[in-house]
Amino acid sequence: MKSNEQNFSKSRRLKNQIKAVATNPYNVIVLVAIILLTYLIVFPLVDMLATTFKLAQRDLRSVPGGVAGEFTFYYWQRLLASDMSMNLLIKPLMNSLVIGAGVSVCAITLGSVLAWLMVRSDLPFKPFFSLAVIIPYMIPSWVKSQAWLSMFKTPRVGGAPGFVASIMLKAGMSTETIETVLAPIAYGQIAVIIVLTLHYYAYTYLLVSAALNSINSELEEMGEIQGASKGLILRKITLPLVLPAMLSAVILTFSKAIGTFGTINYLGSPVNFRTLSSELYSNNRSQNTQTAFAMAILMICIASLSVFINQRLIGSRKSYATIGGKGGRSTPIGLAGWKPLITLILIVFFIVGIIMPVVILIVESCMMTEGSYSLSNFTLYYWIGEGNPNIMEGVPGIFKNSNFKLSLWNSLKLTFVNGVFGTIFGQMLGYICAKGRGTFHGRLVEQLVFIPYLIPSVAFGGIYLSMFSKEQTIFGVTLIPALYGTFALLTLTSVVKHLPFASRAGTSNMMQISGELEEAAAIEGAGFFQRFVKIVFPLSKGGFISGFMLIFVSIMKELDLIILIMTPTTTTLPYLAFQYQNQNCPQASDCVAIVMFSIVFLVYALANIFGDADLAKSMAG
Amino acid sequence: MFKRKNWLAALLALVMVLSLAACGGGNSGSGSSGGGDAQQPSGGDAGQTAPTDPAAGDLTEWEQSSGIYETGETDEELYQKALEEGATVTLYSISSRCTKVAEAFMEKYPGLECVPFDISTNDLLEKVTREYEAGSPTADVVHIKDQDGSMYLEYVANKIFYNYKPADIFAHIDPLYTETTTPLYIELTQLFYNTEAYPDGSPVTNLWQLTEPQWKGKIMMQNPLDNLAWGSWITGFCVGDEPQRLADAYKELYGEDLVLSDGCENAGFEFLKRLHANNPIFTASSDEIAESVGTPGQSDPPVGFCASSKLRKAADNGWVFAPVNLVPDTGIPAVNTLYIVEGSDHPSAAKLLVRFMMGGVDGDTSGYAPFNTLGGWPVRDDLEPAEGSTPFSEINVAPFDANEMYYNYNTVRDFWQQLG
Repeated sequence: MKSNEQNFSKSRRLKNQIKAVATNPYNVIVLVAIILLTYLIVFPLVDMLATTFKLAQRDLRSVPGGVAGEFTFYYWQRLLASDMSMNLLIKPLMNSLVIGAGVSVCAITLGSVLAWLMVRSDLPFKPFFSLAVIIPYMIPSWVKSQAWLSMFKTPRVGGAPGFVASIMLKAGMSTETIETVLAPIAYGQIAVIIVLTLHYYAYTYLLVSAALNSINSELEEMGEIQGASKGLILRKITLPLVLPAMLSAVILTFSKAIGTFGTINYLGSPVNFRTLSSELYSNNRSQNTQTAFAMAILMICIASLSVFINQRLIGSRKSYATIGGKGGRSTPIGLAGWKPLITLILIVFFIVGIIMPVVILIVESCMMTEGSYSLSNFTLYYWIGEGNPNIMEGVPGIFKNSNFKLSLWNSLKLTFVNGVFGTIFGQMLGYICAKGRGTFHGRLVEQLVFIPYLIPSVAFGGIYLSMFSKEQTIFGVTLIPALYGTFALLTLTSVVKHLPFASRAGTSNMMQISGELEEAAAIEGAGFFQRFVKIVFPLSKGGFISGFMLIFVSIMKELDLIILIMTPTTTTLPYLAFQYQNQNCPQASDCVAIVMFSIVFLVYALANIFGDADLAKSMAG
Repeated sequence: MFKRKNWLAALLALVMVLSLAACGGGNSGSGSSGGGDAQQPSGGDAGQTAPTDPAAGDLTEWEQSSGIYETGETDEELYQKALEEGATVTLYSISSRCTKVAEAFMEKYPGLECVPFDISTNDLLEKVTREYEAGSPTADVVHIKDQDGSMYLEYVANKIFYNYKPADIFAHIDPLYTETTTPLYIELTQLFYNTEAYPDGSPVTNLWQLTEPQWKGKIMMQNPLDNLAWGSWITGFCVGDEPQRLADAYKELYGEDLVLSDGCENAGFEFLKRLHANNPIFTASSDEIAESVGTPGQSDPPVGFCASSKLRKAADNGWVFAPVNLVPDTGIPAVNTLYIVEGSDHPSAAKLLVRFMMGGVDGDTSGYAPFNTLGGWPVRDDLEPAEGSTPFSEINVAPFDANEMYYNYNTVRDFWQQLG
């Protein structure tokens, strides 16, 4: 009798369990997300992988007896086990890892310290600093590279020597001495790490400051009451609480640093310093698509490893929920005697690292000929010129360019639509990653979302172009119509490509939201969507804004991805900048860069002002 | 629980297995997976046959409807047909000057619309190939350069691109250039020196001087690994008659025969090896090279290889530099070429645009004018180069053979990569 009863209850329990799983919106969302991500991310990845095993027609010349399109190990063998491997893969890979590690350590340190100062300390001029601190990320990295060279360039490479070198020359030092002293700073490893750090610390800053914002300072005060020193509080309370955000930033920074190309091209080339990413771009631009794809896949593996390690680190610890049911309060921590010194250091840092490049950019956009610093050389031609045939081949200034308004409108539409969509999806995915932490589906989603980050834009755009140029059908039913040339495809491509930003921001943010808030609401009878809209979403506003800014900025700067998907009649601001650069009008190109930068800055300022206001309000209750 | 097996581990394992298999495949000596150092097949037996104009019966549907092999039509006939076709022609071009071409075209042929798209070589090929494969070709005309012969041996041979050969215009072009392309104009990679620091002329006149110790670390160029253009340029030294010309130039300079070192098949490879050993400084762009060499006020400026088109920037920037007419030559020319894309719905408009860009026949050269600048040379014998140009016939240029270039490109690029 007893066993029968048990069986009955067991099967009923199972039935109930299945019912609960199938009707739980969370599970449905997870399922939909996994299907979509598989389709949108795994498919392109498999396509790339397959390409690396298919002999290209152009390589028939190197493979005697080969047949185009046939299966081959040629590319992987050449990359991993041939006499080319050393120069093609191993040396560049080592350089990549050094750069990745170096930039991560420096950027995380710098970004975290700045975030802590801005959010938790009683630093003066905070509104100004917190706006300025994000500027470096908005300045294109080539501008920073050029600024670096105009500072440290040595006479050996010709042209006008850098600022430091010309002082040393005036001091009577020989060119050999200058070369020995300056060259290691001017080009190669150190230069790349410093410039990239100044670019990517923004990731850490945005993520960590959002995390710090959500910490109730009572937690720290409790430590203080117990007699803990400031250092101990920082180490034992604050740091562990923002660790998920920092680790997210590590992943973003590390992967971006090993994937970046522009800065390494500028600062590495003169000393033949090459990384895996420079090999990838070189191969891609030499039409060795298969080798380039193979390298991209290796980079994806490395990044996946970093995500995996991150999962292990976070997975082995207890919950970090800091947004609980109680009201939050944030009392700044006094910097005491350090205040003037820190303020001074920050001001110098902002002037050198942030304001200088911007000023250089603005000044250069107003120079008739490059490199000549005199008042007679000042002009607004590149801004408002009518198209004088004697200047730069008759190309008019940007505000007189008929394409400018169109490009501006396209760029704005693209960045706002994609920013909003991308952030919403990113937050939902972040929710899945955070709530599913340690489970298979959580890890799967976290890994999947990360892949597009490292697929080179030109490959990603190309694959999407092929995928969506035809109708997508399954069993004869049209699922997706042919999207080529539509804004929808552009949105889809950009959103998926930039998902990693938004979802990382989402994950670190969602991890701080205590599950008990949702549980309480569930007890009160709130449905899943109601909980998401009324509880999770309002509490995650900080992360939402960080995610939006990350996506917004990078879509604003995106060129390769968009140029492949767009039709010739739809142009954006980066395309206009590219065109001016092509037309030998670097000044006009600078003008477009300034416009782009101003838009981003304005949006950031608005988000900062309104975002903070809203956040404070929602936390007060 | 088996489902919990980590996804990443699976991927890594897959890659490792595959790479192991790759090594195994090579060792077992299977013919289809040759190593990186495989000998290139000679031009003849690679199964590539150059397309010739086939007889009417063999034409594909598009070839027939477009009349791509019909070369006798006049501008007026094409204009009328173009108006009937739908009147829009899309031009993908690697030159920003395509915008001006489009404006001039629309002015000359009212009722026709020309949509220009300025795009980099790499993006252009990716876009055009993907669009073509997906069955939604957008470009009608493509302006690019055939630098390594791949445009001809991959795109034209596979009937993705077509060389349209208007007879009346081709009558004015050296058949050397029209064999594999519909040429638009020629650019060069030239060695530049600073005329202020060297008022008596270039310190280097023979290519081999660049391999001497006094130029160590003082030669600017772009890394040949970085793109197709520079990869093709170094390939040009190693193929055809060029190695012999280099060997002769060596003897002329030093009075003795060149001795080839290990691994160098000919004088071309030897030159590249010695050039690389002299630590050239690589830059991110051609502009940087022009600036480095041409900036006035330098006591010991470098010399540098860069695109001849930088000449037209010289006046704007106040650069003081001049190109050298090197012995034996300055390497291969970069010929800008025009193609009509297979499946184009506007073949007549496309043909009209090609004719217009090539300078037409009615004396109105407004379609070619945007390209006629310093550092670019017309291919037609009845068009004058821009004022101040050195006549092209006086410049030493290496011979360009699409087949030779194409089949040796990988070998030479790999050779350079292995130099470090």
